[in-house]
Amino acid sequence: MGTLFGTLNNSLDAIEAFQTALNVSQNNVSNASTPGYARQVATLDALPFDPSEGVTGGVRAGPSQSTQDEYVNQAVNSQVSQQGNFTAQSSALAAIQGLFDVSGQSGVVGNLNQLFQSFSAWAATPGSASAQQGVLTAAQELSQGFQSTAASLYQTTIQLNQQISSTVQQINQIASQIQAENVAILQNPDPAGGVNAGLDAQLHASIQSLSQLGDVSVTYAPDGTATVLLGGQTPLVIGAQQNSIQTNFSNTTAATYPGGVPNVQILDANGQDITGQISQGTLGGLLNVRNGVLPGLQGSTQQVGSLNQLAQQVADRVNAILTAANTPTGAAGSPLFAYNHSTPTDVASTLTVDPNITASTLAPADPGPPPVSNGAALTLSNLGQSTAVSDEIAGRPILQFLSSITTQVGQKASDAQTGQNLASQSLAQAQAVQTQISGVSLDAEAINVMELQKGYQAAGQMVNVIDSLASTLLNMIPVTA
Amino acid sequence: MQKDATHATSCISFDDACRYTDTKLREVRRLLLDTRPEAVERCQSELEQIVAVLEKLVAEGDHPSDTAATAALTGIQGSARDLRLQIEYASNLCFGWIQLRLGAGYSRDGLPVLVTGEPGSSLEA
Repeated sequence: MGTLFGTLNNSLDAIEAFQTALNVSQNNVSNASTPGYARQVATLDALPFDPSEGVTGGVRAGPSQSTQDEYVNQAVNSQVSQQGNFTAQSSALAAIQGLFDVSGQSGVVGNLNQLFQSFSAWAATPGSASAQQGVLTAAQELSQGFQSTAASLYQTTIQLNQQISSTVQQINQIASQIQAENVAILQNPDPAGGVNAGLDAQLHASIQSLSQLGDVSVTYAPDGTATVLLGGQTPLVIGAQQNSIQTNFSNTTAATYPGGVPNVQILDANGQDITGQISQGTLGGLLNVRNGVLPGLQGSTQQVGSLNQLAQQVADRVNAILTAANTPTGAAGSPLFAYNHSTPTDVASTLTVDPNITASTLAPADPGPPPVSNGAALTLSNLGQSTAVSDEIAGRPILQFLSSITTQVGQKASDAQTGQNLASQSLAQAQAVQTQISGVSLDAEAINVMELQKGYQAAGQMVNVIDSLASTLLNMIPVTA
Repeated sequence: MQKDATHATSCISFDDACRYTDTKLREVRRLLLDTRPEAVERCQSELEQIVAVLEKLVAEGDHPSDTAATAALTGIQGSARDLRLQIEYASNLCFGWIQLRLGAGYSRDGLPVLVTGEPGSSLEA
């Protein structure tokens, strides 16, 4: 009888086992295009075989196993995060790059070139009313250019603040979703003891969405719930608990320049500053531009900003040269520019042409000795290239300093664009490998991946040959005069 | 394959050969996103054709000295470098995965040691 019951039990186990396998298979087909879903694999456990004890062996359904491969998932999430970072940077920098025209025709660069040209024309004909008016017009346009650039940078700051707020809200929202999914996983365990495929898929899709917004690292507990850390240190979700992050736009602690725009802070649930931990994802990209690039240009509570440095140096040096000079009638010269002296971070935004100056009070003559009738105008026309210590900014002539600002902004925008392209390329490749690994049997996948890796190595060597042949050809091209 | 490619490009100009090479390199970047081993083999075959075309250009030796030629070759180098980054990334990703799954520590020389055992007794549904 024992044997008969054993055999019947075995049959039931076997039927149950294959039913489970069929269910898993059906699940795979149904969820083939569900985001975050990884194919489930049914396992069969061998039962002990001992006829003398009535134990007749057979199989029993084991827990289903997910082919979610956390290594590859992490690689994909990391690329998603990098892409988010570079995309945010690229978009924010495009607006700033437009303000610093590399061709020197427009914006502050164009205005400053125009001012030096007007000084040059004035030096050639110091008594000419049109040359004098040219100086006043160019000065007016330069001050407007500084004001307009400062206003645009401030506008960009406001927009980035809004984007940062919105991104932080999205992060909290997705973290809350992950917390809810963790709770659902705890409340709805897989009856066979494995993973609940549907909930597992939702959880992985949420984590991937979160990766685009910030650099997150994830660990999974044996019960299938996820612990999510932001920047590798700040817990966003631990099992059924969520910790929200928040923004602070008004941190003026230890401000060297109280009138400057404060950097944005990201605070954890305890109010601790975690800004420095966030370097990737959309939030990382936005913070990079908002706290790194913009303060360097427009200033902040900690620095004056290169635009203000430039505006102040141009205004101070022009005013100093003009007030030390004489008008053709022998009167002392007047300053050309005025600005708010009390706030060093507001120089560019408050720069104007001094309301007291007129064409007749412009002083072109250097009183000497020896006196030179156009000496001051000549000095002004060369001010942009002057290497006198008093004329330079941070050890560079004025025009070179401006050029370095333009180059830096352009370089950052270009780096962000290149990074965005490379991250997109690497993301596509990681997703392709992820599909490959999640789509093959566990037994075959190691062989397949090894074959792939060998194939990539061989292809890489051939690309080196191609690069080298292209270099050879470049060297063969005769250099044209 | 090499012979075919050489034949296919035997009559085309330097500019056309450069364009052909650049197009092929871009095609390989797209093809690499298909990670089946047979697709990677096809990429290798495409790369062989590119090598054959460039070797032929080097052998011919007589090239235009205009800036367009320099730009075309610089473009090829740029595409090749992008492709190399993509391949390196994919190769490292696969190797990391292999090491994680099959790694058994490191040798005395500091190289990763891989072990291969019997496949597990799972039944794929």
